Amino acid sequence: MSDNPRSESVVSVRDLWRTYRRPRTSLFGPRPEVHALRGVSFDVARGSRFGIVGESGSGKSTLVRLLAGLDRPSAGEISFDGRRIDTLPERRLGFLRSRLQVVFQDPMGSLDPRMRVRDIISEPLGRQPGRFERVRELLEAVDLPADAGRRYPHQFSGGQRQRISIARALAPRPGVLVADEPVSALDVLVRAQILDLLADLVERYALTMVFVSHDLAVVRHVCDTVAVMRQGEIVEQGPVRDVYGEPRHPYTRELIAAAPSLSAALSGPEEG
Amino acid sequence: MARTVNLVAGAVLVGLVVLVALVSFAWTPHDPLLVDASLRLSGPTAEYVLGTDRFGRDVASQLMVGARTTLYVGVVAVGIAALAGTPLGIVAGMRGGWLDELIMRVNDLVLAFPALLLAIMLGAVYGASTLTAMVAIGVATVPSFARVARAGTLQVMSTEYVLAARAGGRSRAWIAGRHVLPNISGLVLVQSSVSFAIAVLAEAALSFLGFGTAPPTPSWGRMLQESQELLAVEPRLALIPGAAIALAVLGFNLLGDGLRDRFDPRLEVRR
Amino acid sequence: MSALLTVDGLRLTTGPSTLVDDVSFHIGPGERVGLIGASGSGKSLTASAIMGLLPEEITASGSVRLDGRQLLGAPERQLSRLRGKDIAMVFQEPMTALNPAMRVGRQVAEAMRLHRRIDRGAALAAAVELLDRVRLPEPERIARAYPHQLSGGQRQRVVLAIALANDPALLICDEPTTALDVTVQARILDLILAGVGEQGGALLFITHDLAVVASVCERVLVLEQGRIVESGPVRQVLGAPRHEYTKRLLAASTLEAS
Repeated sequence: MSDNPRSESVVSVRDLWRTYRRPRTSLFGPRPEVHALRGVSFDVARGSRFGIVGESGSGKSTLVRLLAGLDRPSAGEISFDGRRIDTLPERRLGFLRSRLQVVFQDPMGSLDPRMRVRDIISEPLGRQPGRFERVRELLEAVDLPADAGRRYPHQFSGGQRQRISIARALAPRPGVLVADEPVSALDVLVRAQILDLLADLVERYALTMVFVSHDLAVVRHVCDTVAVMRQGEIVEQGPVRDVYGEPRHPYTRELIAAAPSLSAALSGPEEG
Repeated sequence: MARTVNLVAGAVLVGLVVLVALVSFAWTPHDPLLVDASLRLSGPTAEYVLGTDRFGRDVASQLMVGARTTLYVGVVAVGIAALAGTPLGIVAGMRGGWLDELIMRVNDLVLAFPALLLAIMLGAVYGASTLTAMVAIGVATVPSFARVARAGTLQVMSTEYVLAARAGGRSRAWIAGRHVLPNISGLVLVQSSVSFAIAVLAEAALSFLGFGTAPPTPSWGRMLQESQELLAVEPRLALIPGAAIALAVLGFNLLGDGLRDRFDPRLEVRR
Repeated sequence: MSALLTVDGLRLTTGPSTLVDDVSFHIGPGERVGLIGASGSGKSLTASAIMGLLPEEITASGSVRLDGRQLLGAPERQLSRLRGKDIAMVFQEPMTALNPAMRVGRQVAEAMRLHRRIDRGAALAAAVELLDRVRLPEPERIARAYPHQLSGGQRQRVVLAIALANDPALLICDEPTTALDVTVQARILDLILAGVGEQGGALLFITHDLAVVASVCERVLVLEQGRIVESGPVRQVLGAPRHEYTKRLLAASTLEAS
């Protein structure tokens, strides 16, 4: 189904650059520049689960912001459903808001502590009539009790908060879900549950998912396509089984070798 | 432990001032303005618990009505500062760029200008009154609110829930009203309490200098001023309003500290 | 063989709730033991109890003995003499474990001078050597740096250098690599193993990551809601888990299975 991604790509990124200017370190020298992204290109096929793997400083968070139209690239193009989004001002990105949503990493920081859960979830819906009906549906979809809507974020555990965050992202019925390290702040047991939930939802609502993580094992479990990022560049991309099975780039090999593996550790040579 | 002590002590002191001011509307032991030469400089007695001043007016009654002036000045001055400073800070923090730069530089300018000098200038032009004192203190306090609000706004704007709201297509105004304002309200409240203390002190100083509340309206600062000629003879007349000012300032500062601890984000994380 | 650390019937409570209940285990000299469990299982509290660093509101009962000496309820002065010398700890967040206003070299040197009589110059030289031992590049330069000038991995190496400064008999690591990148994590784990290995120190390694525990430890204790539900050699417990909770942890960790 992803044989011909070009014709059916939802998100298309071409030679994307993002350069930040740091505050001056000396009075007269030039302001130092940081290249967060250096010529990134990829296509996300409709219905695919596209993984972006990278360590800290790889530029993956910057990429998420650009995809969601929360920041502008320094150079390059981003298209969503064939429409350029990098050139539009934020107030004209309405169409993107309802079709692409983001689940953020920090289940504490991504929910306003002073808002009730139902107001958080219905936030992307504005004053639409029937929005609370939709909230009920969403709470059910993410396996939260119906009375959760009346409560505040701090009354929930980390995993439940991430469910709230997912419900909010699904509220406007987006076609694309961008998940930015959605499980890295969570416990192992909870992590597995949230990943299962995401997999279910992607299937049930026929979503395209862009899944950003530092964790190779998680990306391998969730995605069908993967791009490996290092220092603002994509060093390797392709179907998950190819990249993990026969990594071509030395950095990919290093990443795979460094990831601790239970089966390898248990089947390794007996120690003295 | 110490956190709640501050809050409670501050609330009690402030509550006392408010209570006294409220009671003074309905009842004072004597008419605070009634001059009775026969009673000049009487020491504390059962009838005049804090004694009388050099015109024979009851000090206790003056003190009670003076609390009114103090609170009135504080509320209006802090109100002006909060209502102008908070939105300015939010706008600066949310918009950034040249607007931020402009607002903050004007802020610095106002901050560099002493409130007392501003009050004296206003008083010279419009005639010294409680109003000019309040406006001067208020305007001079705007920058503190703008700074606090801007710092809080920057912090809130960097959170993921604001990113999520933007990704959800919410407008700047919505984000300001629903996310920024509620989350910086604690900071603004703390600032209000601290500024209130400064306003009380400034009003007292201005009245003392003769640029604040005009006679005959009783004010703690004016009581202090009127007492100075008799300082050697009757120190009681300076000590009483002085103590009232000190306690009120202490109360608002303690309340501010207590509230600050209460709204400390590090504590909020814990359940 | 007598145990280095013996924890017997450890029970931690706060108000009406029991956080850790009847936890007993021992660690022999030079042994590497893992403590695993989901968050809230009481892993970190157990470590704090051993270090004598429990929050005030938590009451401990039972016994924690190091080389026969009772640590639980021991006076703070006695504990502080042990901490850093006989037992050292590496925390999850390296930034908060370092003093932001003090140069890295001095922090390592101070850790040594706390328990040894050596003069400043000698301690500083030894600190540079120690920074070299945790494979920090250009240790002289790093010694002069402040914590914020270092990367997360470099900071964790410094924390490790401080922990190893006095060759402790027991090193406790509480999720030491959770905040780090995978490639950095692999190197830090190697350093921890080398650090305790060289001096024959014992290791108590706390983590929720079963793959990490499998590659670092010989024996493992599984903690569920404050109770040890399973323990034994790593291969046995993780290779053929018997308790339901261990099975769930395992299934969640090896995502392929879920």
